[in-house]
Amino acid sequence: MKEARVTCKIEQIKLPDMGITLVRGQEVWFGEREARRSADLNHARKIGAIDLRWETRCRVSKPPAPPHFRKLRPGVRKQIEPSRPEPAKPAPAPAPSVDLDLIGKQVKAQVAAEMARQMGQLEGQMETMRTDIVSQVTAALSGQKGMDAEQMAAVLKATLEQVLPAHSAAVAAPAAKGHATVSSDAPMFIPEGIVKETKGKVKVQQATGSTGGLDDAAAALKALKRKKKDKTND
Amino acid sequence: MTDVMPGCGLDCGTMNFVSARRTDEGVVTRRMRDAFLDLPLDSKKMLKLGGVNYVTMGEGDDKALVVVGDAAMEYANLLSKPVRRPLQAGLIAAGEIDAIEVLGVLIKHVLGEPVVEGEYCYFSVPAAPVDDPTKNVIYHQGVLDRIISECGYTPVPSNEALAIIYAETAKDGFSGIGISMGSGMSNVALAIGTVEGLAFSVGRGGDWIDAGAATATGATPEKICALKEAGIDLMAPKNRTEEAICVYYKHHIQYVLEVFLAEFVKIKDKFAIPKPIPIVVGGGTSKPENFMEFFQQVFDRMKRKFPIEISEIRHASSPLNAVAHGLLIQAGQEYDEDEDDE
Repeated sequence: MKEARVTCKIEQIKLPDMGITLVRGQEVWFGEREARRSADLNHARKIGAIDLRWETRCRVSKPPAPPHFRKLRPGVRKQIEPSRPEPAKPAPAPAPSVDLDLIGKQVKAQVAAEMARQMGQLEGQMETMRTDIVSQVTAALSGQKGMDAEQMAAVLKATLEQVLPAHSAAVAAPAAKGHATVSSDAPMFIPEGIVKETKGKVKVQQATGSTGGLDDAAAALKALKRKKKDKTND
Repeated sequence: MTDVMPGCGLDCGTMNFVSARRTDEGVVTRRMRDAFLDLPLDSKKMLKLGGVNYVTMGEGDDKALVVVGDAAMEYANLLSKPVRRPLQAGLIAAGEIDAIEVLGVLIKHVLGEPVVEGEYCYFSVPAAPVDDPTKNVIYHQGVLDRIISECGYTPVPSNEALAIIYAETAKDGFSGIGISMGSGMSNVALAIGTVEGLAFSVGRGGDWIDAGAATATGATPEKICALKEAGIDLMAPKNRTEEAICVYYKHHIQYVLEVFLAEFVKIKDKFAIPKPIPIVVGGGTSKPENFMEFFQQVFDRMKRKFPIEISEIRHASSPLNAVAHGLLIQAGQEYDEDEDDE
């Protein structure tokens, strides 16, 4: 749509038939028909008081302004309203009383129920595992007579290897988190028989020093312990 | 014949294993470099000709000649072969079965035979590292415990930095901050009257300084380590390499003190420190010339932030043996208590 862009070039000009007074630099837009009809606008253009250009503007959908936002025209000061006393707020309602004992009991009951549920699941899995092992060992041993201990151990080992990974994965899955952690009481493999008889020679540097400092420290430590012991007895 | 008293201290460090025993002639310390070099069986003649001590390990096809201790370092330099270390960054690397067996050989020779059945042996363990929770101190302690008990001793683990407090702060009522500046780690403990208030370790030590200075100068960490051990004055570096070492020393000390501040904040309300206490520094990384003046300079810059009143900062009387001495004092108490009970 074609529109007239009007920019004021003098200090001030009134356009009575448009009902507007423009100041220097102020820019306004009018519709084509409205602008062509206005005699005052044409007169102002002729005397060079305004700059008039015909332009086509595009309509661009803009997001709605936030509720606190008020657009001000340039050069127009915002009128500051005298502050009014805020209406008295109603007194806050009294906070509902919290029964900590009751909440504690509810939480305990929920935790106990969850633990019981998980224990039930584990027991079910153990039972399934036991049944699987028994059935597979029975199937492997059926019809085999005179089996020695080594063969028996091999059958058991193979069965356990077959049955356990599936179950262990199922059991471990719910506890899996970001990274693995090892608790301090977790069993750890430490090989036995590390110190072996070795043939050969090893050179060790040896030095003998005075016991002065050590004797003093040992005596002081002994005295400190005795003092602590006496204090405890008192 | 020398009379040996029961009770033994064993410092299990990344760079050295040091044992300490009390005899009627004085305190006997035995030290071995924590390093080994494995060579094929056909190297036997070469080793014999060179007069290098070695042991034969393994069986069948796995049989190999192993040079352990200082000889391994010297021979590795000759052969331009990297030396292997059973401990890495202060701890036994899990899965290094070869290293564990070599540790068995090292500890057996450093300790010797127990003088009484089941003799008490206090051995050093680091505190849990605060900057690397993935490091497994439990496995490290478990392996050392097993090796020492297989040598015929009753093993008792004890904190490395606390051992320095036992050895060096008797005149201060066993109160102070002990810092063990090791090769793989740095351990710090705060104790008042032998009661441990705070103990932690950081995963930085002499190796970190070597690696940093090596990267900065284009040298190898081994070369930097050799330069440090040959003697360097931290207050008067002579060239660019020494300047780089000083820079990393400064950052390392600063880091240890900053971590101490952060850790102390966690316990400050639970622990009363009635009077000024000393800081005692030990460990092989504190060996360079003028280390304590350098440490004091770094500390002075942080003094205002330091929450504890420090009476003095001093070097352990024997930096390399301080931990072993502290452990020996603790082991000796086991037998004194027996006497008391009688």
